[in-house]
Amino acid sequence: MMDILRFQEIGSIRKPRYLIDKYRGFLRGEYGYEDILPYVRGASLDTLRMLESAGLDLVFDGEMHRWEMYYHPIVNIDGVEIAGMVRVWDNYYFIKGRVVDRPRLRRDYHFEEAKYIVGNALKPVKFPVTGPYTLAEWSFNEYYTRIYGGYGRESRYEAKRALALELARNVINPILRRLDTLGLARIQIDEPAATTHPDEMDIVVEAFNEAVKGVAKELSIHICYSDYRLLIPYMDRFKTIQFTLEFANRDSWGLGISRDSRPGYQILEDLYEYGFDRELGLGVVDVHVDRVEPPELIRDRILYAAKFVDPTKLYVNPDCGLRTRSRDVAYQKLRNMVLGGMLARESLL
Amino acid sequence: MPDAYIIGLFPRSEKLISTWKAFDRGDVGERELSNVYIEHVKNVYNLQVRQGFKYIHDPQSNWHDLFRPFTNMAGIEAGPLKRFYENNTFFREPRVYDPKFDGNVLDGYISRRVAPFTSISIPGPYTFTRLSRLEAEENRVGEFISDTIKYLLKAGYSRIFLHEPELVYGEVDRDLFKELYRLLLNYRDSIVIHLYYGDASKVSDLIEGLGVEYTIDLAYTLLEGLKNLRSRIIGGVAGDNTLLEDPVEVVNKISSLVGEDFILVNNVDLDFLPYEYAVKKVELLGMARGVE
Repeated sequence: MMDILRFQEIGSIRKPRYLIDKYRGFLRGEYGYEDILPYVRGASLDTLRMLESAGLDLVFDGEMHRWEMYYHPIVNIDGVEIAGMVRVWDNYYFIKGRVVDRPRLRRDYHFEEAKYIVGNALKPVKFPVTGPYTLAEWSFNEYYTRIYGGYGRESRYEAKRALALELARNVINPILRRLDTLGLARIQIDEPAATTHPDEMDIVVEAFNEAVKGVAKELSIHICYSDYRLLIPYMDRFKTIQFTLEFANRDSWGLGISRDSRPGYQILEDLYEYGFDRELGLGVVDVHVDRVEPPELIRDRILYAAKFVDPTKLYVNPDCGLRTRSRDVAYQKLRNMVLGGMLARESLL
Repeated sequence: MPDAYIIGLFPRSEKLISTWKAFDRGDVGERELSNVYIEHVKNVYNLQVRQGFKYIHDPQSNWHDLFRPFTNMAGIEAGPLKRFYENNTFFREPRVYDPKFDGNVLDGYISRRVAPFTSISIPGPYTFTRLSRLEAEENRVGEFISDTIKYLLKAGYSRIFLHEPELVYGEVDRDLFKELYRLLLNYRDSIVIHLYYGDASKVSDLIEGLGVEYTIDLAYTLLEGLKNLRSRIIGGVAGDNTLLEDPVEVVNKISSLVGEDFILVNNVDLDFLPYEYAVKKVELLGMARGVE
């Protein structure tokens, strides 16, 4: 029988209340990380079991070991200092760093985490790592702006390139090489910022490929809330087997597999015309609303996508991490995602 | 000697962010959130007054994004999250189908009842049409913005910044620009077209032809081109980098190109910075006013 459609999550799941409180104490300096580690591990196990019982094929622990995907790396990198909170949207903020010196890895911030998860997961593990370009883009680039000057596109380009490559070579690559020695099924490089600057796409590719140099493990790249038309011409140049992208946020909630029924997925036509032949992680769940997608809607989104992407290369996932939803809602969304995927599988086989 | 002031949305303080989160969770009531917001607004007002700015800008820190008050009015809805230009900041794409300006809604988003702010920022009509899912005639957006300006002037604001990054970011439809701004010419003495994320010289002839003031984003406009532009409102302080400019250096650099008679402003909203750094940038602009 043809092996089609595998189910995966993207990364984050909301932390249980008790763990959020512990992390807040940690951020305020009331506890060390070792003090909160038992709570982290408890939540990690709970989340692994939650994702396994939802029926996913590839699992993770929802970033229980990390406060979030940007903060966790930067506090382990010399040369980066915390600046404060900056808005992402509405009243959602993230803690942003300032690069004040050449970045250097102070402590491998993923190895013990990955070892624990691999040792405790009952299914294969896909492990997310924040990519070098996103770390560079989400930081205030003071150090290289001083070197290259603050005015004009060219100086900003050079300052960004210098920072992204430094992070790729001296922070992310050493981490990936150590992760490569563990029993992970796959490593996902998160680059949500990839298409932020159209004229920096070359930097995104160069930094990604530098970061994964010498890594043998299967790699995917996750890019969300982005202009995929900018990405498509560069896809061939990434040394990755899978692109995991967001679509559901742009789609309608009506059923159907016609072009008009699936506005969020029309970009797949461009992908098809481009000759895309890698695996595609298809975002079928909107992570920004509590409304739970019915399985039939998931099915139709997949069936529409299967017109443009070889179903043996389709992975099914939410648009992004589900941390902005409650754990109950996240579970219902993932469960329906799997049920809808099974409906699609029946139609496709 | 240069003048200086700020433009755009001002970031929320950490206290305001956490109170707002607590409000969203139902842990605090509307009154407590309102009290914290009023305290924040007063702080931002006093900060600007201390610098001696000619215009005191409404912080608009209760706006989730530049379009949000308007998406709460009839005929406009908040849609999916979209990236705001080249930032890690997202806005809800407005779906505009039958826009009707509603002063009662806008009243809840302006802060003149707290302190006598004199300037405020709103989306320019061109950018509004371009960043929206438009299901109405473009002119309807022009009329809508015209009604908004009229209302804000009546409310006591004297300077209204129309954010128009779209005019300089990509290709511009010059006919559409003229058509939309034809509706706003009655207000030409009160409006300033705020250009950022691109070179002002791309559209300066169009704007100068209307006799409307505009801003120049120094991060994107060629320095040597400055002397050819009529505007002297210059965004020479980065609203998107914590690196603190040396006010003397910035003033001397601009003075050497356009003379001493100019107004130094932040190039993009200070909302892209943490609150503490936004405060430092305001103080830096205040210092620039004193540079001989």
